[in-house]
Amino acid sequence: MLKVVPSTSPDVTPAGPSGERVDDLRLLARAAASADPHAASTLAAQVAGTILGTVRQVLGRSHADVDDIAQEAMLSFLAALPEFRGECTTRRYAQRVALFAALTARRRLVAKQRVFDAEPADDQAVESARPSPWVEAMAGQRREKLREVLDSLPDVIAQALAMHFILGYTVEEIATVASAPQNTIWSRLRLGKKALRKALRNDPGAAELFGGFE
Amino acid sequence: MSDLECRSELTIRERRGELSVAEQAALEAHLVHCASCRLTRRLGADFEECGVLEAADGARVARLSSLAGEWAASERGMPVRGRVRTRSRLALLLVAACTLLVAVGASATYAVIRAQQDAPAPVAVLAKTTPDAKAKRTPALAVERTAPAPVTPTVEPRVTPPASPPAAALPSAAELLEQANRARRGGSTASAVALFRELGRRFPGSAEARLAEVRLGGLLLERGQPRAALAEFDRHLSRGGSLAPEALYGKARAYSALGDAAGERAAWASLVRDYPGSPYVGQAERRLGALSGSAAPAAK
Repeated sequence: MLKVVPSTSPDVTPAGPSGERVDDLRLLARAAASADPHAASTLAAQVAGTILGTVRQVLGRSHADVDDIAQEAMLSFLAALPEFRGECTTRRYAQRVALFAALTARRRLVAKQRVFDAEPADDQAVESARPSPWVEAMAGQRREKLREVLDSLPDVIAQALAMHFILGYTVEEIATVASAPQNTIWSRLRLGKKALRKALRNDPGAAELFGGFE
Repeated sequence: MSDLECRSELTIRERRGELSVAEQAALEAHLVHCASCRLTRRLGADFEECGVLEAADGARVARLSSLAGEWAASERGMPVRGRVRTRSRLALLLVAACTLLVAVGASATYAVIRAQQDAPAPVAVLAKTTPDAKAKRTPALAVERTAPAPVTPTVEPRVTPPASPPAAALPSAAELLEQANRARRGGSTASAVALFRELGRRFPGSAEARLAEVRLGGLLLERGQPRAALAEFDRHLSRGGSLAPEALYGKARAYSALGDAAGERAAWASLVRDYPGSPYVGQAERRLGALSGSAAPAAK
């Protein structure tokens, strides 16, 4: 049995939130990159959940455009496969493409003055084994607050912050994705967190949401 | 030092389930003092929950998978079409060059023959001085200039199109789809309709065009053009598209808008029968119930 040893190199498939390091989809991704319809279809079925989840995390669980953006993200992922050099697992690559697609879409929608609903319905559809409606509502509002801050930040800072908070990437991993020094990423995260705090201070209702985090 | 400067990543590793017992204890102790890490941990947990899939997502996953297969099939077709186009351009150029050569050769031969016919004897032609020769050959030269004329028009238009550069600047299928979706979301329905139509016209058979059929149908329906919408939904269904449930849903609504109860009933029934897991089934059954209820008194 293979034992997975954590690597010190950022280029070697860093572990994902699920702890996965071995890329079980690598061969499938190669076949899909050569436009093999069966491989593309099978690969898409494997990463569709990741893409859907990431798009929902960025847009909001019950946002009307989730399906559209997930489809666009899937096509972007497939189109980007020939450029994929295996610097992370295929699932993470899909997750990253979906994150950027969703962030871009969200900015586009905000620029169009499209009002984003907060997340009240967000959690109603999910399984009932959740803590309590109040806790869930608070979580939904905190997510929405972060999304609002992301909308207002420069691209590179918003991307770093989203990878950190939403996808749970380490600074080393973000630096690899962004092709930037780790100190630059630390700096971007600091600026992002500072902006988030400022937004919280200016929002009287946020004290309850983020009590103890300031 | 501000807690914003904190470089601990224990919260990230905790989220991945990578912490040892000792590290977990260290994290708990660290969190007491570090508001930045508390925030990272809280938001991380919030977003982790938000990305969880639901049972109803099975249909979405299947749709994305099907879309990917169609996309790959259309991508695989594109380079082949590109090669054929390149080859056919080369072939056209070769044909044009050969035709030109043949025409020039034929004219030259014609000129020589005419010169031979006009000349009393080959020896005499060779012996003639230049002015005489020019005089005799002038009509032949006139023929030489006019003889290939019928060939030239057929050659030129065929050679010209490949050289025209604007085609390269046109948006790709994915770009058109994005533009159309953007227009749709922005409320520019007319331009979204135009873009979806352009997508279908320029990239027929592509995954994007297949997707566009259903979107276009929905838009046309919203614009009060149920007949045109019906044509789009039917086009999608006739090729077994990945959005068949959506197309059937649209078709049923289009028939309803047209007042065609039989057509609407058939579309809903097909949706219930062929896609029982579809999110539209509930509405389909309600409408089928209502239609049978309204049909009963009419039958009496």
